[in-house]
Amino acid sequence: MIGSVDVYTLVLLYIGVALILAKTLGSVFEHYRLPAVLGEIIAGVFLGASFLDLFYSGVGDVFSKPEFRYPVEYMAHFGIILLLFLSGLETDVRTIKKTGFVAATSTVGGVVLPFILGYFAGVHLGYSHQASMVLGALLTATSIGVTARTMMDLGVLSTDVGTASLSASVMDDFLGIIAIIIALGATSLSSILFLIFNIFLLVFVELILGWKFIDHYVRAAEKVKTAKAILAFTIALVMIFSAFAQYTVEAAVEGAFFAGLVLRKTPEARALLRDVRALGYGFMIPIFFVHVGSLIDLKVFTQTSALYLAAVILLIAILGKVAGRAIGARVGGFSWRKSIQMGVGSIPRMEIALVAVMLAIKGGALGDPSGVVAQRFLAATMVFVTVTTLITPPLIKLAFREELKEKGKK
Amino acid sequence: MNRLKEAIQKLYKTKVSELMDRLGWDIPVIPEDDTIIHAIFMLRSNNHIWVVTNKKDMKVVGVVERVDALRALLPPETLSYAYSSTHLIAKNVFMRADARVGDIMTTPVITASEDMTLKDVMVKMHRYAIERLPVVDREGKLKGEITLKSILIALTRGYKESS
Repeated sequence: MIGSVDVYTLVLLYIGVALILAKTLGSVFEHYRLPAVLGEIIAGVFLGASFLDLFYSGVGDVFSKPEFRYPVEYMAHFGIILLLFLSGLETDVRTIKKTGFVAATSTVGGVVLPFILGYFAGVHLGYSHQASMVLGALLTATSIGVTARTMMDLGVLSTDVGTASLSASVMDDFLGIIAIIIALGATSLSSILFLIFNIFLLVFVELILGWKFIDHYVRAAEKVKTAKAILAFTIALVMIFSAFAQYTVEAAVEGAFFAGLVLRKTPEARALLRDVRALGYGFMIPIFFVHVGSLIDLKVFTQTSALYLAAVILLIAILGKVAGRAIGARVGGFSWRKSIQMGVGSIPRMEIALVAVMLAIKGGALGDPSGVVAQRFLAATMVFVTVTTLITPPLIKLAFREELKEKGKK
Repeated sequence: MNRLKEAIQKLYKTKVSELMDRLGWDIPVIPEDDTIIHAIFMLRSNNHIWVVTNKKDMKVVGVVERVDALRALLPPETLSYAYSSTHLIAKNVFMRADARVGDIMTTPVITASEDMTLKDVMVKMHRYAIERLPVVDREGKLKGEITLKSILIALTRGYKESS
């Protein structure tokens, strides 16, 4: 009890306020052509103990009570699972296969280089092996939304650079999600062999066997004649796949993602997309992004070591991605000019980075979840997702200035 | 009321093969690599078009309805990119000038087979809120279609005959 309000009542109230604030700020950000996710995170900062404590000291104590923390954390965790499930459900494996040669080489370059640079930067700054792996994984996956929108506004989206960028984005997400396993599962170098074995086990069971038997599963679900039985069976599959992925590679989200990939094959599950989206986008997923924002301890921004980490991550995030993608695109046959343009388009990071840092914190990969390292990583991630998103539109404009000049002449 | 019930009971037992519209000039089909504008021309007089791999194999891979075209034609600034939705970007003609029918279709589709009963078809239609199913053989080859409209017409015919 706090005053005359018990904690469970407070959770309901908190979730209600969080959803309204998240969607409202999200729409404000969209109005300025920025990703709504940023608005949802900022809503979280406003609802975090660190911010609210400025006005009413004692909020932090309430928010850290297990009765308050666990339900909110659980909902946020379901949000991540649904986010990755939907992302799998919307990934057309055929489009990955159709990824053009340049798109493929540039994607691989743009994932591998930041990962390696991030890892070594982490080691160099004195972080543990696993924290450094997390740092690498954070930097891998591009969020294509801002780039697509900017390129479209400039009228260069239908050029070969724009097409290759879009084509690369699907595979890029895929590799970024795989990188999370490596970061979370590889606790030490000696465990890497064990991890590789477990990855094979996971892929065999969930992707290969899953692909084969999913139709039978859906047929069986169809025989259960009660209301929304298929939706329930679908969500059940997501949970069971997640549990198995948690057990094998310590990353439940991979199971959710694989469940999406496999279920996509069946028309029945596709027809349920509307229901799952409603549950995810309208409820659980915003809670996740608010939760991420709320965990930020604003005092961290006054520590030089945290700011230093943020600066290093930001630098590698930008240079690593641009260089990695550009080299990959050059190898794939693009001119340097176009390669750089592709590189610049791949700078923004968002969802996957946030998911990765969150899972790393909760999974203990960064030590004590409310400890110094975890807080620094969280703050640094916030800084780099925000900055990479904000600087990309002007940088794209700069990279395409020749094309835009010629357009102006016409 | 009993007359209606009897007519419905009879309808339940009917096989898809007895009522389906067989593949012919009047069933709209388009290959997945065809252009979006061609699909739009066809949608002027059709509610839907079955999308097939190619006209030789005729394997059904998806369906394009008028709402699918609508989504492709929306002003791109109204699309929400809340959570990295690459799929939405790929489905809009402003975002992808080279988009083909296969990019904007709804895929995969829920299908029916010739030996299904209309009862099962009706349950399926209701469960997934769809009015028409492509009828396919074991290999997924398009054989024709079964629509709610033809089911309702058959019902009224059966009702009249029973008087």
